[in-house]
Amino acid sequence: MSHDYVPVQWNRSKVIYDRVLWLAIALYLATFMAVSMLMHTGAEALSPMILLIRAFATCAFLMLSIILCIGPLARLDSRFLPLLYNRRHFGVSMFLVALVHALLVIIFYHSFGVGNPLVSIFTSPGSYESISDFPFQRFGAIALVILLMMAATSHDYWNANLTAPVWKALHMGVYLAYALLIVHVASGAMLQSETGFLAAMVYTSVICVGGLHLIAAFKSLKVDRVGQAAEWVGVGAWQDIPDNQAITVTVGKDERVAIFRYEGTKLAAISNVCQHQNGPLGEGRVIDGCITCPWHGFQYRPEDGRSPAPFTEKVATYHLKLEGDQLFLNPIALPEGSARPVINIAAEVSE
Amino acid sequence: MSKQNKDFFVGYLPMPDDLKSFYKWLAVLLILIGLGFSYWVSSSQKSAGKGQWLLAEEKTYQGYLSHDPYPVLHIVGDKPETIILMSQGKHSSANLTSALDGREVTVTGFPIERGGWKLLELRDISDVNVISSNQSYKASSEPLGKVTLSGEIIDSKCFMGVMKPGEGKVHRACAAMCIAGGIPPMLVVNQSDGARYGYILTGPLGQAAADLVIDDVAVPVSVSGQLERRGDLTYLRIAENGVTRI
Ligand code: HEM
Ligand code: FES
Repeated sequence: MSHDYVPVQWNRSKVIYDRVLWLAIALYLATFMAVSMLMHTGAEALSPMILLIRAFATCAFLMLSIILCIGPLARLDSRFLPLLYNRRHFGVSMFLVALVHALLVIIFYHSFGVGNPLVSIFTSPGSYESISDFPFQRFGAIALVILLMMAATSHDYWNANLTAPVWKALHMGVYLAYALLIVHVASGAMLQSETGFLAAMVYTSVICVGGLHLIAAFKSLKVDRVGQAAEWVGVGAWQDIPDNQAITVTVGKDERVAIFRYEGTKLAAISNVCQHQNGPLGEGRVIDGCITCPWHGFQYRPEDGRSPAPFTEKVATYHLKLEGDQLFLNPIALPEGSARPVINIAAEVSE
Repeated sequence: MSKQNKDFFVGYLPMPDDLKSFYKWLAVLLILIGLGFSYWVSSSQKSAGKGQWLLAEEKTYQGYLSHDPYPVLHIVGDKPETIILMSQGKHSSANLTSALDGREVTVTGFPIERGGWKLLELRDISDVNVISSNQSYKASSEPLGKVTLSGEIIDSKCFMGVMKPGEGKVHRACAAMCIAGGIPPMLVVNQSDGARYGYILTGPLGQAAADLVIDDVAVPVSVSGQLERRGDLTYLRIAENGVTRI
């Protein structure tokens, strides 16, 4: 939605979300330090700096794993949508935690010696010939740069100025960062730990993240795929659409259309793709007469696919027609923000 | 807000009641997962031995400076002992000591101790004081024969107590930087009985070995060469191409 860009548009949900998040981060770090310091005492004490390096590293990795689970969880169960609503704060927090890890490593392992600490991340010994020789630091560093770019462009200002598709593509980089980090841990600290705890951490993460994505992808494959041609396609009886909600159909190659019923008897079809971050409008609701995105609550009028003033977002709209109880969709998208007649069953009946 | 907003969450509107209780439980669950995970990861860290960096116990020793090729102090008398010297950070102390090779001096610094090993971290030139300028001392050197040993090359400073752990893959970049800066590289060998022995590495001609070992630190290697004893330290003179990966 177009508005003056303020650093963060705070609201109660975001405040609570952030408080819980940072409480969890603080508890994680404190527990990590306390447990290590109580278990290894006196002459056997581990270096506090290395403990901090590990506490921040594993905390960031756990956070990233949870972040990557939120998307598919929200697709599978709408109760998880509020987690998605403020996911960017989770992401930026994760970046900050990872940054502390990287800075501590750069200070303690790469500084106070000959040469430039940053350069030494890329020149310290290692080769790609065997896992035990892999220069794992470089993988962490590239991942950190990706996370930095995402954190820096996380604001809606960039979202709007880079346009949703570019922004979305950039933010898909998180999967690349995740893959790099798995290599970072698997060819680094994982080789060191004879107890296998890090390996268990990485495997659990990959199973959860990968598994949930597969299940969610499978679920969206099952969205009804209707006609290819430029002719009217039947989408079923209008009564089957719950009031103030939508059904989603796929037309053409991969175009999704959300068909909403609202005010009991009105029917309108618009593109399923939210202009904000491509959220699935068909999983949203009609609230106060506007189609409301399930992700961050951007709104569109059913009559013309435009956001109510002062906002200026608009999505493509579609023609519908009714034959008896059966609803038909014209799969040719109208230009974004085009008004077209909305079907009102009450009106048709009374005519 | 309208009635239909019972279970559908819109960020800028109050959260529906049904979701509120769901999230109370979820917040508690997430925090518990975090705590459990943290405990689990933290408690599974291994010990890093009994090395110590005694930053609160500044000490002064008297003996003869020698560069074998790394700076050491040979303490003579009824309790002979050899102390490896180094500067702060990842640097050799050669710039403080090499001009005084063979002289009797006192050195002051922070001890780093592990097992029978003793190292001393010097800060600056004021930590080195000449006792007598004309005495010269050369530690006797005793050859112990040819060997091939398997283990890991580490930098003695971190391994002996500055970084815990100061060995293994995680410590690789740091070890390489220390060794490049002139900290004596050592081969650490694990005996089957659990004991660990350290051998200071030098080149075939007894010179500093940094260039020869830098690419092979912190990975499993076998090193062949000539053992020799100087003071109470054991050195391994690496044979030509004597370092191989295993
Ligand atoms: C410049 C970037 C980075 C560098 C140089 C770096 C370097 C390192 C080093 C040296 C270790 C071993 C630490 C030790 O146990 O002593 C490590 C471990 C680890 N790093 Fe990174 N890292 C970087 C970025 C990241 C990022 C962005 C993450 C994101 C989550 C990350 C996650 C981890 C994890 C999970 C471990 C294992 C923790 C452990 O050692 O027990 N690293 N990293
Ligand atoms: S994707 Fe953010 S509101 Fe729709």
